[in-house]
Amino acid sequence: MHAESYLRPPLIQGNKTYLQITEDISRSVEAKPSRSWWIATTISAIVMTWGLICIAWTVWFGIGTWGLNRTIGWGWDITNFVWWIGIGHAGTLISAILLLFRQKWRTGVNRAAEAMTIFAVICAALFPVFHMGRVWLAFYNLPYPNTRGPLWPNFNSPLMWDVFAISTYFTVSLMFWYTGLIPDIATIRDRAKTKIAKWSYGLLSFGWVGSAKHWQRHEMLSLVLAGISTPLVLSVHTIVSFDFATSVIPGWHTTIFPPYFVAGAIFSGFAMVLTLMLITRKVLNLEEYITLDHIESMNKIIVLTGSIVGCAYLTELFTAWYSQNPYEQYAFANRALGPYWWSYWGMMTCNVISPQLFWVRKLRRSVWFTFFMSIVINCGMWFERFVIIVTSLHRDYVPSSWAMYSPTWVEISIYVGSIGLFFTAFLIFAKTMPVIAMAEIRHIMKTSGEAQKKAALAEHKHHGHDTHPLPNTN
Amino acid sequence: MDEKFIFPQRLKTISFALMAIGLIGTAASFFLYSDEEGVQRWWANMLLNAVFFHGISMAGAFFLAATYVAYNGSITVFKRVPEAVAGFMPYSALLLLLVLIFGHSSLYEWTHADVVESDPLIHAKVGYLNLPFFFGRFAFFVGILLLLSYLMRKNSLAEDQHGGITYYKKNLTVGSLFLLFFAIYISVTSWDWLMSLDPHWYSTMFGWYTFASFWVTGIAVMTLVVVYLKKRGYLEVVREGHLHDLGKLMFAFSVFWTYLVFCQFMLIWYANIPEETGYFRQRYDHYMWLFYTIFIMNFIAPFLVLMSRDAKRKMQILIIAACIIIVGHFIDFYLIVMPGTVGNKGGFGLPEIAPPLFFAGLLIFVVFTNLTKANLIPKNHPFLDESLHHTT
Repeated sequence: MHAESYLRPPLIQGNKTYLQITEDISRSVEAKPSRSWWIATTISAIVMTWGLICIAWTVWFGIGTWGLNRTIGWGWDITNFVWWIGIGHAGTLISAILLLFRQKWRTGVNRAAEAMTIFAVICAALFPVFHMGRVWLAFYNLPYPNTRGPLWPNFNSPLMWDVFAISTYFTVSLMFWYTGLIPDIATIRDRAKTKIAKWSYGLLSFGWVGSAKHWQRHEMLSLVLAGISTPLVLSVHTIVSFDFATSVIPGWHTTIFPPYFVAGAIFSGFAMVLTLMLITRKVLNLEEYITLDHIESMNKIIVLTGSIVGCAYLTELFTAWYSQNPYEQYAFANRALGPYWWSYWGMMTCNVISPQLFWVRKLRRSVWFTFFMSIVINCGMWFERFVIIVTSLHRDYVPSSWAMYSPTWVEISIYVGSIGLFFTAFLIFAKTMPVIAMAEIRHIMKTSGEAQKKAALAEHKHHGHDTHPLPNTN
Repeated sequence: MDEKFIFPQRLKTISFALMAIGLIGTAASFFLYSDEEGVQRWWANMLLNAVFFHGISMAGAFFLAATYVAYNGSITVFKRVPEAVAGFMPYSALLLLLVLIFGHSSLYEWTHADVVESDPLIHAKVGYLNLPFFFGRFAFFVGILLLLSYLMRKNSLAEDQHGGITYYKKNLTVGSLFLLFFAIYISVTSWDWLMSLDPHWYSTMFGWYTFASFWVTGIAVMTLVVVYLKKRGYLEVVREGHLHDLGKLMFAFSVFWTYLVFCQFMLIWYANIPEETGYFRQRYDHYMWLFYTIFIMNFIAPFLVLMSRDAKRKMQILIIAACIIIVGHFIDFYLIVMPGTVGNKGGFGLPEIAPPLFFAGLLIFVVFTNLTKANLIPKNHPFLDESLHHTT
């Protein structure tokens, strides 16, 4: 027998039945696209197209169209790369690690977060790929038996490890996301009215009929994928941090980088999930499935990971002094007081100080404040990567090599274009696929539905326990 | 759900015997090894044990705070065990304080005025590495955590008496504060007590790495206590599902420890900067077999032993895994402390064998005495019912 504490708030509000859950969630897929959807998608697609044009511009005219120079070989490109990869951490964290921790609230947001992961990784991959310059030789990264004689990828380089880590992560995340989608696609197929919808969702559902055998294999596969994804979530940003930390550049070479990058990635990933989900729940009327308790739980993860990141910043700062290494000390003084001081203080304000406001319960449960904070954190985490990359590079060991960096219009456009790509992909996903995992929501209804929760509470009172009101859920 | 634990006479005798043998051995080794090297070695062992056992007691309180804040619904049935382990904190803190007060000059190079004068690097760190500030930090962080852990226990006992969710909510607040201070405590004290043994060396990862080590050892100790209680016929409501959770935690945090250790080592090895590699060079050259032993005992062994689902649900296997983890992490701390104090002359003899016996005896005595002081299964906890029905 299973029992759940009366303290746990319901995760599905409004006394739903199984049928209502299906209808509420598939409504957005089945209805005609609304005007606002068309407007949003058009704008995103235009922005994306402009980004693609600028990518073509880069390929045609070369990397010289970017603001990089001999001292600062990594600028906005790698900043954006790390930023997107970080954002791509929340999805798999929610599906794999929160699954292991038995966090039921994950069912409300996991589908959209996993989709977000996939789009974010695609956006991330753009930057190193086009930074190669001769992008048509990108396949040189792959260690295949080749005709170039002894010329192989450098297996000692963390950049090479990145290729493996990210492609593995992308593959597993995609499989995880799609496996979860199959039963839901089948639901949409069964409800489809038009022939073409029936046919295409039928194709995508891989012939799912929901038999016991199907479910058994589905559960088994999900478990295996969760097992594989858990170390993967941690490994991807660990290896991204190796790109910096294996070097001897002050500000880059520090041992705390791997766990702190992972914490930062989860931090920014959850911020992006919140940005997207707060809009989605409003536009698609899903407030009963993504409740304030879901938002509060995510805000708690934000305050936790934000504090871990803050602890790491301060540790780095202290150790820079404690090391009594003049280069290390200068690197950090230069971050805070040098020409890029604004990015350092932007990072400190957005990532360390502002998330601390989430200690206040009222703010954790305020939709508007959460939305505002999610944007602030996304900016802060972008600043962080800029600080790490550009500020550490621009003061070289030899003062004659000191330089400054600012992006050109091409770089800015590609970055903005990647955001356009991300939103275009997400909007298309939200229109064609159920944004909430229907099957998983049905699965938790018996324990976490509002009606069931109320019944359990009545039972609890009936047994002569002292009376506690159901925690306030508004 | 009334279950009173009575300290079994046999265990009590064992704990007294351990303490007595340990104390006699420790005292004997103090006189047997009375040359300068011997004194240093003696203090190094005292520090090693005091820090290690202090870490275990902190892990108990951390376990409690973390599970409160995370709304954990499975550990409630045996939450008296982390409470009892946390109850060892005052004793371990006192012992550690005594070791630091009387042993600091044998342990820490930077406490010697002549070294500070002649070594420009240490001289530059005097603003941080000086005795008043050193003990001030100890008093501040350990004091706050002691207070918070005392409050958690107090609220937990009051909940048994009076019921309601007031005490639960109070503990949520206390637990969050505990976690907040713990994060700073573990960073700062790991620099103070351990990293400053090698005052030239630094690694930003160090605090998190010692945390991982303490934490997984603490979980192993709590697992042993739960299994012992079950074997004696107590805590029948703790079932395979709960054991499975403890097994998973040991497994997961063994991997986590390995992750941190590997990252720290690999980054220093890869960059190959002499200031940083010196630390590992010494450990690798002079303690090579221990260097690999900790990797085998703290990663490969728990990883393979606890890999399967069935293994995590069997008491016998949990005992084996927990013992390997505890000894393995003790060696891990040995490898931190010894090269920093006695240099390449870390040995294995009476000074190494006796103190852990004393500390373990004391730990057993205090933890099991604490267990007798309250009902073994908490009453009125809002997650109790969920925990009683917990299955995995």
